[in-house]
This record gives sequence, structure tokens and C-alpha cells, in this order.
Amino acid sequence: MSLRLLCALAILSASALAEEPPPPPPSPQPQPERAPAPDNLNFDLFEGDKKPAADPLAASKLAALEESVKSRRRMLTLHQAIGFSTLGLLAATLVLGQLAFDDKYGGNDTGRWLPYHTVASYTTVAAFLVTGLLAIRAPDPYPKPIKADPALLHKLSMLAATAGMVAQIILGPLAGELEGSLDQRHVAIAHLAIGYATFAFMAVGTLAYVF
Amino acid sequence: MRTLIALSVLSICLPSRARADAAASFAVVKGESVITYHLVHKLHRFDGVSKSVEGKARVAADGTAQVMVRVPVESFDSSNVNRDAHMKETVEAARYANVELKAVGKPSLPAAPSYPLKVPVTFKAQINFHGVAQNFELPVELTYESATRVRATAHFTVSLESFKIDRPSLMFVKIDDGLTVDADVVFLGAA
Repeated sequence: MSLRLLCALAILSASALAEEPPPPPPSPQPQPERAPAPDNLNFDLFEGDKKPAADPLAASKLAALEESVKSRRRMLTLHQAIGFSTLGLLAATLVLGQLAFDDKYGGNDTGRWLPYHTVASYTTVAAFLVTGLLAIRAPDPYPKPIKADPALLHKLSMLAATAGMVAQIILGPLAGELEGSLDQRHVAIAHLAIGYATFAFMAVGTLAYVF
Repeated sequence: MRTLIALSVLSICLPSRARADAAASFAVVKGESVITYHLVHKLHRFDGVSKSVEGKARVAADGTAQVMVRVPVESFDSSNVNRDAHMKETVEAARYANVELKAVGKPSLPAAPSYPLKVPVTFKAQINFHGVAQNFELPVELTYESATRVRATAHFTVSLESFKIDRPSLMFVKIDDGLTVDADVVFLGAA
């Protein structure tokens, strides 16, 4: 009787374990393993993975890269500072240009705004040139792909603003040269319109980073 | 009689012995796993997403799970190449190529699990980021989609400065110190 009981117990226990759902989570590839300590983080599951061979030039390459990172950051910080100043200067130049235009064609033609406008214009062009050069000359330690993003919008806007600046460098003095000519008003209108467009492109290029 | 008793004892002991020795290995499913960071600047918020998640997990017979996940810092995409380049400079991607997370925990599963099954568990974790290792408690929700497929989701915030990261600036305003991470990592039982 006890023998039957034992056998029955043995069969029951074995089948109960067999029917029990797999241990959490079930083991796809059982292997002998000692349970890790629940608070021990001193393990490396990537230990067996192949590692790339050490590059003997790595240290010098790293030092060069870190140096260019520092240089890039310095240049781009200046780029931002001078860039914002340029945007302000351009706004001032635009206001002075509008005042000069109104004085010339809608007022008494005193020419009192023109010297201010001229000084502001040259300062703006110089600041714009420095800002652009800082961005172009900044090293690129981490390669950047070209894709449709705010960075591309910034670059395209600034490219358009550069084209506007070049046109203004030609149209401004040309408007002055045409004093007394009937074409002067047309050139001055074009100069003013391109000034507004240049400011718009610069503003878009700046705001591209904000949103 | 003795033989029978011995056999009976063996029949009881052997399956449990086999279970005690069993361990399971899991690997991260790369295309389906995503790690996202969220950062806040006074002017806007932005996210960086990486799908280049590597990871492994080992579950011991007693249910204790060791997990290791790593992501190359260069792989995060914030939809702005200049910002990504700036982030790489900030976290010194060339020197510290990966963000690595190790975790140990013991999810408690019901005796008879039916899938999908959600199990919240708090892991003891360590993040290695920018050459600095920090330990913390990591609450994770494990979703057992099947016996061999587990989705782990976690949401946590770390301090950039605590990892010795000089916070980057835009328009001379630094980003906030809190870096929030959303992890959605799928593990598959290794063959």
C-alpha cells in the first residue's frame, strides 16, 4: 500500500512540475548558472563580444578632435554674439534707410538721415561678413549629414541674406550715383525692398533655431 | 523497496534541480527598441531618438534578471544636425562613445502566467554616461508579450550636471539640467 502511495506521489509530483508553466521568464536555452546577487551590478553581459582593434593613433586623433571641438565652440559662440548684433544693426540700417527714402521722396530732401544710414550700412556689412566667416571657418569635428531641418533652413536663409547683402552693396552706392536721374527713385525702391527682404531672411535664419 | 523509494525521491528532486540550474538569455531586438531623451530650453523643448539600442539580459533560475543596455551617443537624432553635433561635443562622444545601463531585479510572475502580462518591477540600476557611473532605483514595466518576448518600458530623469556635463547653451541661455529618458526596449529569448 505504502509502495503504491509512494509511486503515486512520485508520478503526481513529476507531472505537477511538468504541467507547471515555465519559470519566469521561460528558458529558451537552459544552461548551468548561479543566481546573481540581487544588488550586484558588477557584471558585463557584452564581455564576450568582439571589440575593434585599438587604433595606435587614437590618442592623438582624440586630442586633435577635442582641440577642434573647443575651437568650434569658441567660433560659434562668437558667431551667435556677432550674429545677433548684426540682426540689430540691420534693423537699424533699415529704419534709417526708410527715413532717408521718406525724406528724399516724401519730405523736404534734407538728406539728414543719409550719413547715418551709410555708416550703419557699412557696419552691418562688416559684421555680417565676420559672422558668416566664423560659421564657415569653424571646424566640423563631428560630421553632419545634410537633411531638411532647422540647420538647413538657417543656412539657406543666410545664403539668401548674403545675396541680399551683395545686391545692397551695389544698389546703395548706385542710388547715390544716380542723383538727379529719373532712375534714382526706382533704384532706391529696389534698394529698400531688398533691404526688407534681407532682414526677413536673416530673421528667419535666426528664428529657425528657436522653434 | 529501497530502489523504489530512491526512484521516487529522484523523480521528485530531479525536475526541481533542473529548474534551479536553468537560466535564460535574452537579446534586444534592435529595430523595435527605442530610447528617447527629452530636454528643455527656455525657448523650446526637444527630443533625441535612437534606435541603435544594443542589449542583453540573463535571467537566473531564481528569476533574478541581469540586464545590460547600451546606446551609442552619436546615434541620437533630434531632427537638427547642428544640435546633434553640439550634443556630441557636450557629451564628448569621441571619448565616451556609449551610454550604458546595467540593472538587476527580480520580477515576480504569477505561477500560471497568461500573455500578455504586465509586471511592474523596480531594478537596481547603474548608468554609465560621460565617464561617470551612477546608481539609482529604476522602475520598469515589463510586458511579457509571450514566453520569450518581453517589452521593457521605463521613464526616468537624470541630472546632466551630476554626470559632469557642461550644459549646452542656445542664445546664451543654458538648457535645463534635467534629462528625461523614455526607454522602450524589446527583448527576445536568445536561441
